[in-house]
Amino acid sequence: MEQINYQTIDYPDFPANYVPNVVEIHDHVGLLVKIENFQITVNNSRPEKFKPDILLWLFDGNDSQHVAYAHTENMVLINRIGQLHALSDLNETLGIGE
Amino acid sequence: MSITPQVNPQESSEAQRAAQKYTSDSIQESIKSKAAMAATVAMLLQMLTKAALEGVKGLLDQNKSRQNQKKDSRLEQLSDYLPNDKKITQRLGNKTRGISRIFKGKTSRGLSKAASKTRSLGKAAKLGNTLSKVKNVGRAGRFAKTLGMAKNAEIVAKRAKTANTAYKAVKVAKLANTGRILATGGVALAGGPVGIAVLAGSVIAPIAIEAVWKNREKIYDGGKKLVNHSKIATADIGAMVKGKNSKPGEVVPELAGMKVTGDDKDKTTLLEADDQGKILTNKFAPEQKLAFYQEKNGEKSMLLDEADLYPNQATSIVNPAGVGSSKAEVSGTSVVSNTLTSLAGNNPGNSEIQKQTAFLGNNLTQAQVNIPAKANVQESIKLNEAGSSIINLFNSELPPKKRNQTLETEDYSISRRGNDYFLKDKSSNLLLQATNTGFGTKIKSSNLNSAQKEDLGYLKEDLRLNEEITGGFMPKIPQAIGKNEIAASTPAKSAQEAAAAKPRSTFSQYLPTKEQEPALTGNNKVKSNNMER
Repeated sequence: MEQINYQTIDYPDFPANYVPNVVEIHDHVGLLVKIENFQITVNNSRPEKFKPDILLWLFDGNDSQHVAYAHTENMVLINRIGQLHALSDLNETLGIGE
Repeated sequence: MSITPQVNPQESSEAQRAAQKYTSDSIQESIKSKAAMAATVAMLLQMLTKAALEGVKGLLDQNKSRQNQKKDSRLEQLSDYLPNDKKITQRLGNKTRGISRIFKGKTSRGLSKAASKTRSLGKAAKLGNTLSKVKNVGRAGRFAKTLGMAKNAEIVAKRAKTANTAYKAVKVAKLANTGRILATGGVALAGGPVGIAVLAGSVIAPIAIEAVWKNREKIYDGGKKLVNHSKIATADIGAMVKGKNSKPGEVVPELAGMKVTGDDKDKTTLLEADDQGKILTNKFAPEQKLAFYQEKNGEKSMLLDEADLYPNQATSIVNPAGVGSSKAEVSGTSVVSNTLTSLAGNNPGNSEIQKQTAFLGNNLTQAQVNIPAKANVQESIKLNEAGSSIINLFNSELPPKKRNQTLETEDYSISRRGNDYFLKDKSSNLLLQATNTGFGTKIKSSNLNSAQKEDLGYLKEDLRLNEEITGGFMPKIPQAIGKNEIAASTPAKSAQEAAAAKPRSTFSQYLPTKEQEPALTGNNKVKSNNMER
């Protein structure tokens, strides 16, 4: 599997208490899902056996500096959500990890 | 080094054999070390090739051979800043010069020859041109490494005079290094630069797409300007696919003014349409497909063909109205959920990815149940929204670094500790405790009467409509905050004006501007173990 140079995406993590008002999820075709104020406002459909090459999660904007998370089916390409407080909460809630 | 055998005749033959063996070993060693050096140089050349393939060739030319400037304004901007980072370039330059001295191949041609003995035949040949322009390998290596290291480029870019230019430069650096396409309208493909070729059967045919023009403007420049550095958009590729499947004389409006040529000797026009989209030429054979390929070690490997990549072109772009499309479809949220599930499934041992996918998936699910039509069904959803409302109100009314204060409103107070937000009434009774869970809210406790719930309902609506906050949640002006620190610092201004003066998104305060960026990097308590940052 090809190694991606994670250092290339050097925007800082989103702060721990950050709450995006608008979350957009794009695939290689375009906008897939839009969540505004915690409600889904756009939910575009794709053909039945569609596989996205990449999914980009954008927080509050659609420029590259708003990319919070990018991934394929196999690997994470960009991760800027590592510090979000909710992630550590998940450990307890779902019993993930240690 | 030489060995003088002993004169003793009995021992002389043995000594001679030993000497021969030693010499032979030395030669072998020498060959090995030369091979190692050649390999090193080949690696260097491969690196250069990679850089060149990713569009950095243009940069080398611009920097070292102004007479051969390429007109790529985006890359030009980056190149203007790169030579400033002397420390890095000098250090790397010294290393590379060391290699070149040992090998005694001071000229680029020599190194090209050496490298051509290794596997990187095609690439080395391509590099001959680049290298000869740069004149010596030390400098070439220095530049290539500098350019290859997007991080350094980024550091340099950050020092640029205007934030805007720096941002563009950073973006270009990222694109050059990752080959991913985040550019608007571009095709997003992970994993390196990608070219377009014509595919016949399962083999990449000798015809790669050399160039694509649209209205006489070159929007794609073959292998020299790979997809991610082209102006070619998804819609253009969709148009090509459609044009390829049409006959001359037919009209394909999306194809208006487009011309596609191959990279064969004669630069055959494969597809051409007039200004109205009427197809003049179509030399694609029916069985040929457009393919996206990657070039590694001189070998083209097919990434995706049009069927893989654009199954939805027919409905979403070529046929925007979806006429005649009776195929089953899946919702966007399903696509996202499935991809997250696959990601988690493919990385079972990586707890960070498990966490991230669970987090995103949970929030997506939560957002799904928050669809407005269903919002009144469950009390818990109402509470969630109430929690979100007070978090939003708190964060929009208090500027960063003032959020350890309490936000006083007409009838309530909101305070924050970490990610927990506390809504209290005038008598300091806790009414609601909400935790920010990313892009959703978790309610930890609630003790609301109907009037308070009504107030929260109004607050939610006011926030949603971006209206002036009225009723019990109308904010009082915080005394401790300086005159100019918030837009609503004078009572004459309404809260609505204040809201309008502030960016809609609270994110803008976190954008990496010169002053604010260091504050962002301060909180390093959690670092993903799969991220080497």
